[in-house]
Amino acid sequence: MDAARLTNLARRQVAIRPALVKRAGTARAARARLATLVLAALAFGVAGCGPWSASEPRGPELSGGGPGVTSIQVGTTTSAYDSGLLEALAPAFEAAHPEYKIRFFAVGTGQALEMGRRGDVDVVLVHAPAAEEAFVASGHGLRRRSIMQNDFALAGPPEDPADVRGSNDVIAALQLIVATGGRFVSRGDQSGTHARERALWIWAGVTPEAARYSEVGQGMGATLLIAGEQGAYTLTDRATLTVTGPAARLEELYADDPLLENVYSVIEVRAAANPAGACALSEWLGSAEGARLIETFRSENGVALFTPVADGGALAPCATLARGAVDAGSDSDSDSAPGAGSSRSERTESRNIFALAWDLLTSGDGYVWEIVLRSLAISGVALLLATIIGIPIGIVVALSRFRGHGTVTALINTGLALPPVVAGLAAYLLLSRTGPLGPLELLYRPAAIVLAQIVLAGPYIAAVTLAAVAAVPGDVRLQARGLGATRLQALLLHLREVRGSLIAAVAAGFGAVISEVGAVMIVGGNILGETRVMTTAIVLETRRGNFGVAIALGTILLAIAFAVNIALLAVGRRSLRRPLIS
Amino acid sequence: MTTDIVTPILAGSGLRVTHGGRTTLDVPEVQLYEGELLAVLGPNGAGKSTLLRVLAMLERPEAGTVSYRGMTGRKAEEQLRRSLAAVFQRPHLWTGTVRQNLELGLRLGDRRKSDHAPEALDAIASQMGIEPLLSAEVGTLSGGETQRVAIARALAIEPDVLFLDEPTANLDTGLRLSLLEDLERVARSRARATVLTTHNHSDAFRLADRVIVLNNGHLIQAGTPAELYENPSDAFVAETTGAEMALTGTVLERDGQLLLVDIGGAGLSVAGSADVGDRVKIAYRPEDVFLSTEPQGHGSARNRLQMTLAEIRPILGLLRLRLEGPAEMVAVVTRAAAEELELAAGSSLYVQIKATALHAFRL
Repeated sequence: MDAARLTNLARRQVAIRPALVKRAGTARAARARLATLVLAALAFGVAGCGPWSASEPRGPELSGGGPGVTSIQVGTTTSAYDSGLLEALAPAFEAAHPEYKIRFFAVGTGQALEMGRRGDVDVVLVHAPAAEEAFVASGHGLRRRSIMQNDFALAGPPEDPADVRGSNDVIAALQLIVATGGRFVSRGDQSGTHARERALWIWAGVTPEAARYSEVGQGMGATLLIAGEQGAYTLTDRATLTVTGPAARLEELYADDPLLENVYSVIEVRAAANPAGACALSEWLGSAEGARLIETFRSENGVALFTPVADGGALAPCATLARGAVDAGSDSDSDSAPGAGSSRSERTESRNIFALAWDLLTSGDGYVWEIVLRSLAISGVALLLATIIGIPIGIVVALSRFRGHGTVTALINTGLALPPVVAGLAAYLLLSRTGPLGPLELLYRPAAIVLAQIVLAGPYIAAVTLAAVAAVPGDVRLQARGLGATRLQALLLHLREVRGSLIAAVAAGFGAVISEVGAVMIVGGNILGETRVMTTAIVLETRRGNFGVAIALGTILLAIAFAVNIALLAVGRRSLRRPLIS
Repeated sequence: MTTDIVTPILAGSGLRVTHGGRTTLDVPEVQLYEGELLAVLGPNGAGKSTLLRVLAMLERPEAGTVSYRGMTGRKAEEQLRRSLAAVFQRPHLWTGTVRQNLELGLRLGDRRKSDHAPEALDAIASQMGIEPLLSAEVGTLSGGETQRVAIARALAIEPDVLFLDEPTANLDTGLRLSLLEDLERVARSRARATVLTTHNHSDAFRLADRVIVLNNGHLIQAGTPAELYENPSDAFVAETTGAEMALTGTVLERDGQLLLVDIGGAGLSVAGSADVGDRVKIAYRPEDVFLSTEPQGHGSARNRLQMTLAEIRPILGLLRLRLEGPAEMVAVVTRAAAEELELAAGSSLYVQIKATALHAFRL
């Protein structure tokens, strides 16, 4: 069980990496087919999409593409990407249109739409109808084509303590959960799934008690794992539940309701760098061929995940569409993301974001400062404990000689190379409900983050201490003894000589804990009001498209790191004036 | 001497230290008496620093005991720690100013800062000539200044026993001589007794009441500077204490402690104990060689040789002369003497040297 969860979790943390590997393979295959398919492909592509040549200015060319091959950048919701569907569709499209290469950015609905506004992607593939309509209405999107659907499902522990299995509709099910005091875990990331969940609560007319409701601000897979750990209910798309549900010990409890219909749409971006490619991809996804591939797609365990939606015919032809940048004034306020500037001017855009960041900092924004204070409290405790543990270990190893001394030194130094995500996974497996420390119920609590950060910062502090103390010749202690110092005084005088390095060790440890995100995300869960710290909030706000908030948090993080370093330096200078010997 | 009835401050007996199977120290007996300055003389690697650390009870020997004022064991270690001060070869000053270093030294152990008036600190600083440096950061000091500060820091404690490990080793001649002058003045007034190691026999002879000579960890000879100078017990001591060792010959006759030795066809009367027919090496000090331009000079010297002046080199205000004849010899004369004798390369000279200034050692 644990191994399966680990695999799943790791896959999610590095989702982009296997995708790139797979894409490389697909690119090679496509290149091989290029010669034979070129004529047929030209016929398809040009006929479908009007007069644009494929020589539009484009960013980075894919290395695998031949001359004249341009890339189509697709910003997509993670749920569609994680299902594996898009990777199955891409080769077929590229076979039909050899002049194009598809590059996916699996970023979540909020960030995908924001990337579309900025012209960084040509097409968005998302599932948040209200946000999509606003995107098109504000002029950032051109044609919106619904291509497929599946449905959302209410997932929960197999025991189903709120007894939602017997509900008549999803509204009743949610009311039952609140009435029975069941726990509920929300994505909380302004994704399509989150948007639907919020709508459902409004329709249900109930509000879950804050203590029973966690916003984790993570992708669907991680959210399912957290809900599983907490024995909570959650709203999920069925595709991800099919893949991750077993590992998370969650079951589909309720699905059969029109309110849970989950429609995915593809929208061509007005500011696209490759409008012809965007058009071609949209046309192809709405074609009979696209529908057939969506219909026949199966998950790894053989489950059908999506149903095609026939909706292509009513759209205007590509050639009639307006193109180019959107006027700054035409942006609507319908989007909830702060900092979603609409100007295509990078300078104006950046200034807006930094101005917003400044406003957040100076206005004492509750959300931002609450996260900052929690980060400081958690990392402060972790740093204190890591220092208390790490410095004595470094001193002892540096000054004593014993069997296996070299091995211990090497182990400590190896700790420096410990990838934070691996430390996080190890802590997760220890603390998980089925893990050895499960009964302590520390997972997704601040204590879990503290533990992971100690594991990360401890070796840092011990290794720097060890190197610094060992670098001072033994003469220093001998000299102190030769002036009548006790052994303790001699040791303190030795440490006095390296206090600069010891302070650097603590500063490095602080840098390690305050800036860490991978492990903190895994063991903390990024739960709003409980374990959301600066780094995980930055990741979340970036995915939501709230770049201003992310920059504000990043600025605060740097300012804190600067202030802490200044403070540590001052401590070092004072320790010089006031020697360790009284 | 009354040393037999006085308890020494420090006494070591049967001291032995080995490192990786090699004996680095083997000293059957060594004492340090009240008011005494003891020099440990020997080349690099002779075990001087090891003996110093063992006597200071900063290193435990594998065999043997060190007693401090009649006490041994933990009690002695504890008592000596409270009343010693040591300066090691590469002195380490603690980060901070010179004054902070002196104060820090006074606060180590169970000593209370209040026991020492600030004037005392200024006094030792002025005695060691570091008063202008008191507020300097130690990182800005030169090697000589660092050594002086380290010694002042030790003397400020007014130790019962002062240990100095090669205090002049890393200094050039001018700095060395001025430091020796100050040590000569200050060490005896600030410390009840001093142990000093050095590889330089003139430093040892200048400062010490007694000298012990170490070679390869072994105690070779102990005595006053005069004893070592006049009667080195073997060729090593003779060489270590500055004698010239280039003469070798064969014993022709023996008369008690007086030998007649054939050197390149000339006969020399030499002090020593060897048998007829033995090959011997002869040690003498260049300053004991007398020169004259007349074949019949006055004086009681037994040996007269006619030699040719091959080379003149100025050394430390004196002139070192290389003489060629039956064998090669070295003499040292003042500039005034050289002018009087009208010395020049190639001039012919008569060399006189007393038999007791020549020491024969069996090869």
